[in-house]
Amino acid sequence: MQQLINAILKFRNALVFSVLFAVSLLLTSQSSSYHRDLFSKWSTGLGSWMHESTGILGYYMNLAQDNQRLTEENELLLKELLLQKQTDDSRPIAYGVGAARVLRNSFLLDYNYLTLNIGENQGVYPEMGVVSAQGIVGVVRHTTPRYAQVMSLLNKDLQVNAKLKKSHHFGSLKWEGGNPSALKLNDVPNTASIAIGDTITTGGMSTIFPNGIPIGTVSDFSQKPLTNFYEIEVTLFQDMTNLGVVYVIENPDRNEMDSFQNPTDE
Amino acid sequence: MNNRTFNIVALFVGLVLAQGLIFDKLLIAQQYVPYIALLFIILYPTYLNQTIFIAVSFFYGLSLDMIGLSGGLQAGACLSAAFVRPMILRSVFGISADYSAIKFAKVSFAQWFVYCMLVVMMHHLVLFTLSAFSWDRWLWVLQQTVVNGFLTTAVVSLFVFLFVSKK
Repeated sequence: MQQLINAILKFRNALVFSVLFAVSLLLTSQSSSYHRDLFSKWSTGLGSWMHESTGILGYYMNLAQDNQRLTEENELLLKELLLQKQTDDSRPIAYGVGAARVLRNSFLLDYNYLTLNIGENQGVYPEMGVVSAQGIVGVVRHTTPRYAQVMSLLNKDLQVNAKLKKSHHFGSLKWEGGNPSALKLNDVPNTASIAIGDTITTGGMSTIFPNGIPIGTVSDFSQKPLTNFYEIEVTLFQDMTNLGVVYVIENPDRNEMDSFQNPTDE
Repeated sequence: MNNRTFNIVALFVGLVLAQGLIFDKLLIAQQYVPYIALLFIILYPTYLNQTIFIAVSFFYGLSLDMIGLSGGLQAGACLSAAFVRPMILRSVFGISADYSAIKFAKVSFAQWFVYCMLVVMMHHLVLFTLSAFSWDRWLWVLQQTVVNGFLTTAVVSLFVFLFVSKK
């Protein structure tokens, strides 16, 4: 306390000067509209800067809540999007969408799987499709009450029905190992008009993925020898090595549709 | 009220009135004003308490603001000039000089002129900076400070030459 008083006494001139100078600035700021405007401009700039600076802290503190909110928002938007993609259908399917966080993701093996933080308690069951904002991710294989195991698109056992977006020629998309962003689209007839850069989407021929979900683009293609089909290399939109939030898609009509369709391995 | 205090009060009131009623109206080249009122800060006895001097200078500037309707411009400028005056005194009259020994009537004209000019320039720089309150007008601030500064220094030096030094 004594040191504080000593410091105040030592710097009393500077203190008195600072206080009185602040008073004179205040008086100046009130004296004319020119100074009022300038002070207002300065204080707005300074205040905004301070709010912005301290806001960064709040931004980090709220990241988890913001992520949750954005995920819920994306869920709703994805539902809307899936409905909109069926505008030509007389009775569109109201797909259910549930957000999930990827807990584990393997991509270095030949048969890769993901683990999600939702399971049967949240209404997740095998054979449901899993997508991200960039495209499809995989298909649910096994579930427990709290978790779900998903067969990744980077799994040699998984084949997905896909099509060329511009010409509606269908094929079968499969990963053959190696590069985690390159897949092969087989069984597209050589009558199809195809070019590098063409978009590949889901075909909608199964009950797992809705029609028209983007998958990737054609990066290379060639005629398969002694056949009438192309061999097309597809580069995925989704980076399968970097998955955060994904969405599990539920087709409410699946059981009914499967009851008279031969189950296909999609 | 002793003689010294009376002199200070008389100088305070007299210079505020002289500045507000006479010198503020003496617009030279329609934009330059001699700030004779700065004599108060220049002549204020150096041996008196510096903290009180700072406070008195603030109220002196405030009085000038009231009479000249300038908000707090003069208060801020006079305050700044009073705050840096000990440093100016030290630099002009020597670091070993005992302030209480400085008698303005007995210093050399060169020292007097430099001392006046530094106090005046400090006051003017703050005054016009506060007046402009924008970096965009730095040239105007510089021009006003230099021209008004030399004008005020000349008037103040002349005043002292005519009155103070003959005491």
